Amino acid sequence: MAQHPVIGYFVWALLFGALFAWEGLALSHLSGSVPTLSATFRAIQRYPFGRWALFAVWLWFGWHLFVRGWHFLLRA
Amino acid sequence: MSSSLIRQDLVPIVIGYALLMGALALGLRLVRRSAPESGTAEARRPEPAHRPGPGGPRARALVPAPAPALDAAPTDPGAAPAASPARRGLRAVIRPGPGWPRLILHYLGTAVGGYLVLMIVIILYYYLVAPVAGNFVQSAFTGCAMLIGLTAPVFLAASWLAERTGWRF
Repeated sequence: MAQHPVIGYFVWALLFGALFAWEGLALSHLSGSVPTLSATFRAIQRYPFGRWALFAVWLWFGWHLFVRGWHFLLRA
Repeated sequence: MSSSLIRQDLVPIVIGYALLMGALALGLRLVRRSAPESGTAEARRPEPAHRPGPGGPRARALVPAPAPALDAAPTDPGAAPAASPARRGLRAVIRPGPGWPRLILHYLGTAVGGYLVLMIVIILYYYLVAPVAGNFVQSAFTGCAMLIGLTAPVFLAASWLAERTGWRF
């Protein structure tokens, strides 16, 4: 596995942490104007291009997680 | 299963799942806690005229509402004359009535559109910005198509099951 500077991992952790923190803020109703992730996705899915973009993101993650480099589990 | 498989694949997935579910549970708990406070305001809100029951048409809820009476005869005598049968047939194919045909058309439109968007992004990014060696792009084409092919029957079967049994996922 390639060695990367720790700051690179830290930035990813920060980004995902910010995502969950923002969602938590939206769910807590502390700020009534922050939409949840579900509300955001619903708003995006009103438009065809939004649905295509979301499907493309889902496809991208699905391909990386389940298809790319896939091998039968018992052969690992 | 080998220990490396457990360490590299299973453990991250389990930890990620636990973190995600924990965050969602926390959010749900906070929502439920604040629900009694806003309960009086909710109680004043009028109920919708029609709420589908457990065995209701799931597919109708999944897709957008139909366009207002595209092929209906105009009630206003001064309005334009009704569309020709060929035009009405074309409209029925493009935008069928509520039910399975519309759900399948909606799914196909989303899947094909999303697939094309992803392929355009991959081609532009990996040929213009960050070229990669090997068969990465070719693998993206075939792998994503395979993923759609694998998930489409599962999605349609789950939709049929939800429609038939009234289950909600």
